[in-house]
Amino acid sequence: MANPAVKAIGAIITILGIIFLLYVFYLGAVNGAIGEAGKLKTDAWLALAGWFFILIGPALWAGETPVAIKEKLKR
Amino acid sequence: MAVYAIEIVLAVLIIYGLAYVFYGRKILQERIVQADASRATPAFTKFDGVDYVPANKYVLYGHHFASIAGAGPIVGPAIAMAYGWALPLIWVLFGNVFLGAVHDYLSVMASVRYGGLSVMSISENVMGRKARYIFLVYVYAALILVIAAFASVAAIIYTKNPKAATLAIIYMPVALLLGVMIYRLGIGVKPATVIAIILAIAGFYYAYKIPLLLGYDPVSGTGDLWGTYHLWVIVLSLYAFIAASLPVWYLLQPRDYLNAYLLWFFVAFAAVGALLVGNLQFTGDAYTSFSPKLLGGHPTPFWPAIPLIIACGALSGFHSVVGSGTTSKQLSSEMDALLIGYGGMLTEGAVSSLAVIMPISLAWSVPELTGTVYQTNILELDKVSRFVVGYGYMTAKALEKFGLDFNNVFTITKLFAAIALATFILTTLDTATRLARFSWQEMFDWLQPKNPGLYKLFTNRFVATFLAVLIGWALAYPTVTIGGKTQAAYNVVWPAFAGTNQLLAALALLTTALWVYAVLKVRGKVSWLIQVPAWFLWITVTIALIWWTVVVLPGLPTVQKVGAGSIVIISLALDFLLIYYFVKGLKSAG
Repeated sequence: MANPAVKAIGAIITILGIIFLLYVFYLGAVNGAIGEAGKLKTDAWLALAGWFFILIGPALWAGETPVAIKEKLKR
Repeated sequence: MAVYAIEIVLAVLIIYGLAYVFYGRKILQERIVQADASRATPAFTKFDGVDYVPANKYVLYGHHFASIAGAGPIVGPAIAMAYGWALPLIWVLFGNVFLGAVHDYLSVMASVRYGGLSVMSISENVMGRKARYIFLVYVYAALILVIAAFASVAAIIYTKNPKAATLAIIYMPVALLLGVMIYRLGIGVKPATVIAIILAIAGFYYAYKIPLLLGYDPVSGTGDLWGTYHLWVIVLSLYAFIAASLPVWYLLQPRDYLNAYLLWFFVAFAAVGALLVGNLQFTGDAYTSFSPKLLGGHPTPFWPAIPLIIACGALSGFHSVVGSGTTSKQLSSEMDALLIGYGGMLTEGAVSSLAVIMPISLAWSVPELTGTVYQTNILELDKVSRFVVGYGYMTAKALEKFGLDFNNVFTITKLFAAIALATFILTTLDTATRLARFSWQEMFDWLQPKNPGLYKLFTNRFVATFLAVLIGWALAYPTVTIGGKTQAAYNVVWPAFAGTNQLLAALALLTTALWVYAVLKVRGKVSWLIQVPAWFLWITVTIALIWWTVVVLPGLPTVQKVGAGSIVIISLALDFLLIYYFVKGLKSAG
């Protein structure tokens, strides 16, 4: 069983990642691009941060070994 | 003599079909390895929830196929078109059936029989302990070059094609969602796949419209090109660290499974496209020269140099590290190895023959592209553009049959080709990082009984991954000046990567051949079916690398001479040492 604090952090990171990405995709649709030429804009940073949060968050939230795989092992 | 697209499609499919049934199943699986469905695989016997995790056969096929199919099957044949289309096609078919697929299948199966050990560690059992450590150091160096080369190539692609970057940040979360749906939420593989594919298609549409700009805009040409490249190298290195540290079920398995659909679509689109334009003639020459000016601008003889040009499409040493690294640890049944190892390699060959060689041969010199895309023929374009234009042309011509406008469709099919290439490269990047961690961990097993604390620190998952990424990043980050032009680091790293990679293939094939001979006790003509190609490959690659060192290396810029040259020379020295141990092993096996 994963540490509850780690799970909570994982949940927060996951939700933040989803919010960041959805917001950035909305901005991209409105502006015709995420970020712009010449400088590194906040939306581009948010896109990268959201990407990494989504990669890390669910792993912390859900723990490492899925139930489906454990059941397969028992069989 | 006129050659039509449909003739080549049928020839390729028939050859691969026969090879799979008669060489793969009858000889390799049934007579040599004697695969047994009842024998437990390491995914069950050594399950750890991180690297050793049993996978669905098709999920694992997706992982294996997507990991081995990086840029190699595309870039190499595109360069080799300078020989005309016939010689590269023959090499891809021959290499696939008799070298690459055998090498991949035996690497997976040997590893499975040794509890998921890498092909380097298997060498200890057949060649002795010293050979194993030499092999491990060699492979670790080769994998660092893979990380550096692919981080650099991906960074330049995302900088110059920011729409591909948009798709990357959509595609990875979709893949992750697929894993969570299958393994966590208990949704079946089929419905979860349908949801993921719909989301991926929506993502493709969004990426087609919206680029992700980190400072440089290739359309207007404004912004800091190399500053953006540097930033992408950092971002991709961080990505590689995270992706390679995460459990395989979480990102790697579902992402590569999804990639397999992309790859299948990519190949099927090419094959169906070719059938639809089956009456189109090849406009390219079947044969131009046996020794056109290629590597370093020198006349490059087809033999022995071809393995240095066409890598993954025909054979690649990296595959043995994947096969005995991540794949063997996830194999649910020995019977799955034929589809995954042998079939995966044939599919990759189909990428080279049907999605690269054939489209380029069709688009070689056609009125629609002359004067706009090129002046006289497709060889004027750089290697990536040859593929993108060729693939885009052939599939656009096919869609034109449905009344669509060629020019509009050509824009979309070209983008699809570029995005597919970028996706495959990212997969190779994080798989190579994970494999470098495995090699590093195996390299320090001698420390475990002497100093368990230090061993634990050295082989810690995060420490080992960080170290590999750090060295890869250091090689990928700097730009180089060649001929007065600033270029990305992969221009320096790629030739060294290609040479060491092919030599690794020869060594891995020899190792598995020795396993077949000494451990499985296979004798007679069947044994020679593996040994002869293994020796042919080793002789070819060794002569090719000596040729490269003597002819090409002296003419290269200093940075390449020192960087790539020293790695290749050290690799050759290690190669001869390993051959010494191989011959010793062969003699003692009787």
